[in-house]
Amino acid sequence: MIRTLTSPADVAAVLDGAAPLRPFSADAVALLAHVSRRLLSDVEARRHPDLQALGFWLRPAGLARLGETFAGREGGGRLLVPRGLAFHVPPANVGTLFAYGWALSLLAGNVNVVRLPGRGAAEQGVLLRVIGAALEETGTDVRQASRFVRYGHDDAISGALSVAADVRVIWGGDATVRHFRALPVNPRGVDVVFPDRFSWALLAADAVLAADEARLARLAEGLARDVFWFGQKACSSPRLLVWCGAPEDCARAAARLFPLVGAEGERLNAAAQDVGGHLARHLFLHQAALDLPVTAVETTGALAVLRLPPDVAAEALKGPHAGGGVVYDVRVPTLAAAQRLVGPRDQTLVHFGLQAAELEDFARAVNGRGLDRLVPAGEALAFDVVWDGVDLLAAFTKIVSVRGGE
Amino acid sequence: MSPPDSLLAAFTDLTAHHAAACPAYARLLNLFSPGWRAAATLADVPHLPVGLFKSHVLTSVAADAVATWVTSSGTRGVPSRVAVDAAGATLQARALGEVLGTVLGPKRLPMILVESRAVLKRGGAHTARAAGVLGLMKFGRDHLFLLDEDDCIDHAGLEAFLARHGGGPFALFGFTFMVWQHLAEAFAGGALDLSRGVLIHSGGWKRLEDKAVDPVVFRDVLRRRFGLTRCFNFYGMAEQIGTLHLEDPDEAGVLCCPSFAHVIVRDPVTLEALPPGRPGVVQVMSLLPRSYPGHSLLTEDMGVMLEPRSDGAARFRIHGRAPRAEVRGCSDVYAPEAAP
Repeated sequence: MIRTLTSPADVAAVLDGAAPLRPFSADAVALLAHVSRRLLSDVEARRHPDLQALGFWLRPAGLARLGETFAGREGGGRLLVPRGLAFHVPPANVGTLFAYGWALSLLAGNVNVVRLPGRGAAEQGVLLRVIGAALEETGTDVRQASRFVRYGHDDAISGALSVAADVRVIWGGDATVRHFRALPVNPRGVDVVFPDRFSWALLAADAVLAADEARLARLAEGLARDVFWFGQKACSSPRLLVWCGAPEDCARAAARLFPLVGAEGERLNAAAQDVGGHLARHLFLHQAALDLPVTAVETTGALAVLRLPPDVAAEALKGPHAGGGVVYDVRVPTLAAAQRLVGPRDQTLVHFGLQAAELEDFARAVNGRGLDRLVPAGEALAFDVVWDGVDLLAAFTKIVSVRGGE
Repeated sequence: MSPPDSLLAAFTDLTAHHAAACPAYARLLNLFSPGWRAAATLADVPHLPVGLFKSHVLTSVAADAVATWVTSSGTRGVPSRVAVDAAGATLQARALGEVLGTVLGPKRLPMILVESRAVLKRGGAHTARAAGVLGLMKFGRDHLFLLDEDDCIDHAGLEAFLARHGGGPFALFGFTFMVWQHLAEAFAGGALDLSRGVLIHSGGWKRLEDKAVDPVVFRDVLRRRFGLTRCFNFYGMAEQIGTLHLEDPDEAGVLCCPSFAHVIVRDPVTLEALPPGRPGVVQVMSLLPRSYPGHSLLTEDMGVMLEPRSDGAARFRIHGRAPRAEVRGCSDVYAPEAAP
């Protein structure tokens, strides 16, 4: 299923015979449902939470909802058609992210070439095995529209694919996006890019204080998942935790919540014996203490909290970070006071204790300066069809306007 | 675990000295180890991650008192830099003399350096390798660099050296992998009598791993091939220059702390001090650094404590560098990997 490319001349063979499909073709939907079923039942896949999340995301009910939304955008002289050829460049370090882009682009009807990262984590192997098995049993058209390739650091091959592509999907942060932007491209092509991002959490202190034990435990579990999955290195992993409320409420709420998050983090990290990661985190805490106006360092379980004053220059927090469960703790009296912390890198804000209307007001007041997603705590890493402010299904299709004559 | 009690008081005093002299260090103490003055054991003395000397300049002397900046070889990217003042340099030389004296004797011996003379020019005199060579050269005389400027063995020079000094005690110094390559391997077939020599070597075993050479094999081969029975590895680092942990004369691979130093092994996750026998991350403590707060450092080396020597000196083994952090996340951390 995976082809290895050694020169730009190999690109033509990869594309040979492949043609775009109708959006939400029955075969594509059936294939993805099949992948979902296998992911949720495969013994190996069940060991990887991110594969379970993917399996859940691809389940038939979810796909049907996507299809309905998609169909709702057509009509009235508007047709949605595939762009043509999609070239996917997933990040090197999250072995499963490519599947979301591939799945959505396949639903949109595109032919897909996915450049698999060289150093695949264990879960990537499992995922490719599952996709490969599902592709074996599907129709030729869908199989032809899903090409998985590997090649070394070869700009000639990337260039040939870029020139052929009608849409490029480039993950991997600023460096990779810059690199691919410098390659020759199809003048009619579009890029969907995922540069470096920063994410945070916003918690209402009074809501944390008012929560009963069960609700608090759910919050701690969700927040721990947000912070500790992918070693806190995903673009949507929160690194800044903003408390909203009176100072003494914030202090009491933090004292109530942090130990639970730390303990949950220890449970999530129990299997990980990443000695280098622990040492890097330890060093990072010391570097941050010298570089930032840290007023206190608290470690509880797997969570390390760096307290910062409310007037901290927020952009200083958005640079390099060691991950592994280190959060900056900033306390502000009101939601409005948190607006100051928003910057252009900001992607996801996970929240607790805030009403939808308050959050909408907040997003409206920020007015696009930053933050693309405001979602409940626990959902930081839940992939959505709208990502980084872009509706991916819309980006993977184009609109044909049709007006009849008399 | 009973190094002289005087060490605890000395380390607490030294911590106080740095806290008073280095504001950044005082800030770290306040944030990470507020109770440091009440340290009840050596394990309670605060430690800094050694990597901090790569990203930050921490000094406990005024800028104009810095006599020299010691730089690490930086095998992992950016090198470390530490400031040494005149008093510190004197102290280091004395400490080095005290430790080396136990194996080299009180007099300066004729010395073979398993090294090219060019090393002193190549990276500048302040790279760790050049500094190591220069530092050790002071304890010898009539130096012979075994390698010429092209890294070829100077056979004539070696013959002349051995003809002149081979019958009496003489010293050899080199990096472990250099000694293996340019002595053990290069003279594997020929007769070379180094039985009156004392070899001091350092630099880690990583490059010898694929040849399956460990401290036991190393000593064994040198003894069998050259009659070299006095062979001592040492463990030390640029961030604690002058502090040498010498290999035990009888037990290969076992390192002993000098009287003014101590070593602790910690759990890499909890950072709790571990008892002998349980491997972890090595922390090195030395009373030498007074001009920069490097007297207690958590290294990036893995090792294990052994039962202390009868006089209480700490003994340990080094297992090698800690693994690098796993690379994860949406952002391609290493640009070369990101480049397709």
